[in-house]
Amino acid sequence: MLNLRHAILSHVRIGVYLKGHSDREDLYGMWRLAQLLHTCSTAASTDQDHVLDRVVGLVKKFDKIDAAKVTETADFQKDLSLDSLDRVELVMVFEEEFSVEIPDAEADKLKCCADVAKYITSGPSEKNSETS
Amino acid sequence: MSVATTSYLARRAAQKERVRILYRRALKDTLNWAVHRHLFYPDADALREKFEANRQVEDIELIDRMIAAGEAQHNKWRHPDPYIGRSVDSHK
Repeated sequence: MLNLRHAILSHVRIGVYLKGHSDREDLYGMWRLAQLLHTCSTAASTDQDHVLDRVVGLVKKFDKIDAAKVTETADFQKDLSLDSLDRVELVMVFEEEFSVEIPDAEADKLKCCADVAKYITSGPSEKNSETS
Repeated sequence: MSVATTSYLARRAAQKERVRILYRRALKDTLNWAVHRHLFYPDADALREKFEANRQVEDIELIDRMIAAGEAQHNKWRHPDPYIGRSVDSHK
């Protein structure tokens, strides 16, 4: 178990050497680390294909849906025969998975997996972000 | 299509929308009240059953009264400190 932990940590750990440097270099190291983590997280969240895969995976796991019928553009209501309450539950699943809040009005517009991935990666462009 | 039918359909559509919003808010509140994740699922199922019980109701006046009663009940039990996630465009 300990070996496994070490194996995982050696992959996950990001080495930043703070000893033996001046204060300025320490700060620079921290800054680089922050930049690195930032690029990692934004790269993951803006990668639309990756998000789409996760969305499709979630939809396939939803117990009222026949997983074989799920495609990127299958309409939740028509093709996957969900009623309006099922769709509410599904939207809540998306909100939890991607830890975002989807407004009531937007939730109604999400008709298929591609819509959801597009909404999560891009956000509503016509809306002003000042309001949030 | 007569005016009466059109207004009837519009009213039914509005009711459907109200029920959808009510269910969404009630479901989120169920999660707010649930102290642990495993307590949420039976509560969510119970909530869905409450809605399913009235699925077949056709009387439009009765539906209006039922929705109003449901909204009143939801307001009464609303969580004082709900979980609020970030919106999609907030990090832009």
